[in-house]
Amino acid sequence: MRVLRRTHLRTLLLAGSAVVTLAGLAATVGALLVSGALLRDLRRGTEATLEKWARADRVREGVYAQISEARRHLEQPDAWGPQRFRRHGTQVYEEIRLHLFQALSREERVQVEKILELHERLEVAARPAFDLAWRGDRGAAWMRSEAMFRYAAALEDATSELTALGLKDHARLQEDLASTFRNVQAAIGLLALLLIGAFVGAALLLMWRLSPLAALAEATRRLGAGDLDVRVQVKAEDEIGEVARSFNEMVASVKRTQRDVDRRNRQLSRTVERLKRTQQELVEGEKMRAMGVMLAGLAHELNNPLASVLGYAELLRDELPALGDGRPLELARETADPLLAEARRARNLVRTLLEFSRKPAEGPEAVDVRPCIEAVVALRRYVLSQEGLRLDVDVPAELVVRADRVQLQQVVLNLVNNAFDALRAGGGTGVSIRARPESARWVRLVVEDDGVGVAEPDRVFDPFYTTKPVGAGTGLGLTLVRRFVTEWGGTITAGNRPQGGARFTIRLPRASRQGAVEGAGEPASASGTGAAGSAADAPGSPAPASAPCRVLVVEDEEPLLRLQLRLLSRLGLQVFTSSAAVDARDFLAREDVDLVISDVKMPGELDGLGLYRWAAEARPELAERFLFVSGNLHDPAVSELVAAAPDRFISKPFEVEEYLARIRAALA
Amino acid sequence: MVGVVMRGGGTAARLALQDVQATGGAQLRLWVFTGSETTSRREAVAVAESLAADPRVVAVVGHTNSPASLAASQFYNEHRLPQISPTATADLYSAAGPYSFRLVPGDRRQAAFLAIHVARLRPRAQVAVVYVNDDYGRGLRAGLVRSLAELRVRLVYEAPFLEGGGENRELSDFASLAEGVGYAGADVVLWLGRWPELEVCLPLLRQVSPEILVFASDGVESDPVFHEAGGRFTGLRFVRFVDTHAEDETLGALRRRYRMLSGRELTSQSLLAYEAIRLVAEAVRAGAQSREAVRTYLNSLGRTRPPYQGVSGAIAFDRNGDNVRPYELAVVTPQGFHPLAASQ
Repeated sequence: MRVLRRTHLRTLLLAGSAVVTLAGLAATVGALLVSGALLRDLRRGTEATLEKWARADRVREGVYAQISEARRHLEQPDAWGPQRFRRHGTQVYEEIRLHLFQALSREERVQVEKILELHERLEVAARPAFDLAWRGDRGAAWMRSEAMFRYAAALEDATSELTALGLKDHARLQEDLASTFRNVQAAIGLLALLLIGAFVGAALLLMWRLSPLAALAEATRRLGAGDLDVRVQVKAEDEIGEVARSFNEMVASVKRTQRDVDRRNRQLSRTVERLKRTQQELVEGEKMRAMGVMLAGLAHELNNPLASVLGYAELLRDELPALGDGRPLELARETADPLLAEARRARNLVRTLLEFSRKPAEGPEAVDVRPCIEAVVALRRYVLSQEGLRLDVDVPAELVVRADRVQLQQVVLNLVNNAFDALRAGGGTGVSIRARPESARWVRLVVEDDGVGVAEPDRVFDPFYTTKPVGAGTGLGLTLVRRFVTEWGGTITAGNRPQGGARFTIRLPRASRQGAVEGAGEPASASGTGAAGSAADAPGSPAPASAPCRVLVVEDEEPLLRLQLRLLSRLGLQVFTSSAAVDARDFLAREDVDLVISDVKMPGELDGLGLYRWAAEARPELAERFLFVSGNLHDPAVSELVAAAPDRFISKPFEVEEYLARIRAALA
Repeated sequence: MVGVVMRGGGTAARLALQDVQATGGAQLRLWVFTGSETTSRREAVAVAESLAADPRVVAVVGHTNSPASLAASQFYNEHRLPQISPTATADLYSAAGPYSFRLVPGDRRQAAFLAIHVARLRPRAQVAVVYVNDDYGRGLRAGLVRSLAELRVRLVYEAPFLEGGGENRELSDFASLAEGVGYAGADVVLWLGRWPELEVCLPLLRQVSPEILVFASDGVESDPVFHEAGGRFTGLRFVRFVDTHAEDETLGALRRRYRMLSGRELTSQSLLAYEAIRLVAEAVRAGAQSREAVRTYLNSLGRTRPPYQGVSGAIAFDRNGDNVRPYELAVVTPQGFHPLAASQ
């Protein structure tokens, strides 16, 4: 039984089909052949029978002719009568003898010989009668002819018997054929029953053996519809069972793989989300960087003319009154003051843009919030109080966050300045700054006022978005604020208080007390929007009373070069100028000076920094006497030097007093 | 096994078997029939049926006469059993079938032979043809009538008769037959039949015409005729196939042995029966173990094999299965058969 189960179903089906087909074919061919043979036999038998009948008829006709001739001769003897009689007799003989070559039964052959004998006797019996008739004894002739007629009658009977034998033979042939045909029919019927039985058996076998296939097909369909819990229950040991077991294993494997794929998909989705966010940030950052690069270039380009404008505006303002009566002073006030104000405004804008384009700091550090806020308060409390506005602070001590100290001051300062502007424009009583730990990980810092509130909280952080009048703001302050907060890992939201007024909420990550922040140091001279400029010496301060110092000014911008020459001449210095760093190098190789004031970026093979490096190698003592005037102190090329010696840099565009103060300090 | 269906064939068969064994030939068994089945058509059919149905029988020698040979030939041809008739001369036998052979030519030649000699001997003869009304006599008669007409020999009377006794003898009425011959004025009778009836009719014919000349066909050759039967056959001219008294040592020895065994003279029929049995033995010795093989052997004689050299001469068969051998015209004398002429 086990062997039977293991028998290849396909082989069984093929063998069975082949056997059934061959049997059917054989039966069909056999039936056709037998039928054909039967038909042929029947046809031949019928033809033979008909031929026999025809021959028998001819024999009878011949005998009739002989008898007729005999009668004629007996009635009217003539010399040719017997000859005619014998001629007819020859025809009869030959006709009878033709049976010799026919397919006859034994009875028929015996009957043919009997007919022949009777004919022979007929002819012999006629001879005496003919002789008597020829001699004229007709009576005796007729009497002797009786035997002839008797044999003729017997011959007729014998011929009829031969015909009957043929009919009987034909009937027997028909019966034999019919019997054969019935046998064939029975055989075909039996074979048909066998075939039907075989078909039914095969169909039952197929149904029994193939129902597992149907289950397998259904399971496959359900699998295709997504049902991974489908399994096929098959206990067969043959190839169908193997297929079913393989199917079940496959489905289980697919399910495991599906779970794995789902998990990976979820991971992938999260990764994609992070990537999208990162990409967005990168794109944003790239945009900002590009904008920053552009702005840096723009700022640098703007700073030079601005420096000229500002410097000359100051000169104009300062020197015009010296020309005479109050009219130059009035002219100075009416023209130079606005000129100065606009130049300053443009300078502030450029500084803001430079700040915006500046690369982020190395990384946030642990910063004590309270000192930063106290520094801002110190800067703005007086101004607010002058406007009759409050500035409330509620920040606990030693509340440390992860941020950049300077930038945190900037952030708070920006928010306070915005609140101040809004209160001054729209009414309100004051600004409050509060900070509290929100959780073990976060600190909440809130700056709010009771002014008119924020018109579009969703847009306040967009670059260049501002509600202030033209010229009153750059629109980049809050953008910078969000950027700084985001870089520290925090968040900022803008909104309105239910009772009215704006509220900015900053969440900053808490940090440990490492690197505790110093108090509010002086803000860097190059950052701080709107920061007051450094105290400048009073304009027109007298130059040192010793021998005039020798100063070399290196500047490729001709207006700026002349401006510096004019300013330095106020100090009673001996000023040498050079519009190219290469020329300045050649000069310094021969001459000694007390101070070198050099632009940073200059066209040509050597710029300001290159000149400095040359001096550091060739004239180390001279390297200590370098002062740089730069339009972009955030440029990476100078940032290191700026960080190491910030006092060596004057930012363009500069105010005259600031410039002169720095020169005096350097020469001192 | 070989079936031998010949009147007087027993002696020929025994002699043949002895000679086959003496020469180291094939082991042969003979099934011999010598009764009326050798001449009667109906009985010939029965014998033929039994011989054809026996698979051991590879050939048949017989039957005695043309009617029996013809009647049996269809059974033999249906069962593919080779048949060699020693002396059946009916022309129709040539068309009996591919399994029918004979050691003599057809009657047409004999008829012509007889007619010629009648014309030579009696150019102005008035001929009466008396013939046995069977396949043998009818065939001879038809040929003879044609040949006589060609030779312008006058045919004045024809009379059929039947062989055998009883009703056949009664019907034949040889007395009236002889009267008819005499009434017709015939001086030559051509007897186309066998010797027993001639023995009855010949005296009657001589009563009608003492000078009547009688020619007979080959059927009268027999021992009684040889011994003349009281002189009644003296002067009878007849056709034979073999001069069994020819000067031949082998033939002479065979003749003597035949006489010793049977007490009769060796005739053409007996000799040709002996030849036929020896021929089948030779076929078996040459490897023919089946009916078809025997037939193939017989057909090959004179074609792919040389003719069989029998006591009576060379034996080979034409496409009709006939062995064409010459005839002889002999005359009965008190000393026996005396040859008169031979055909070419």
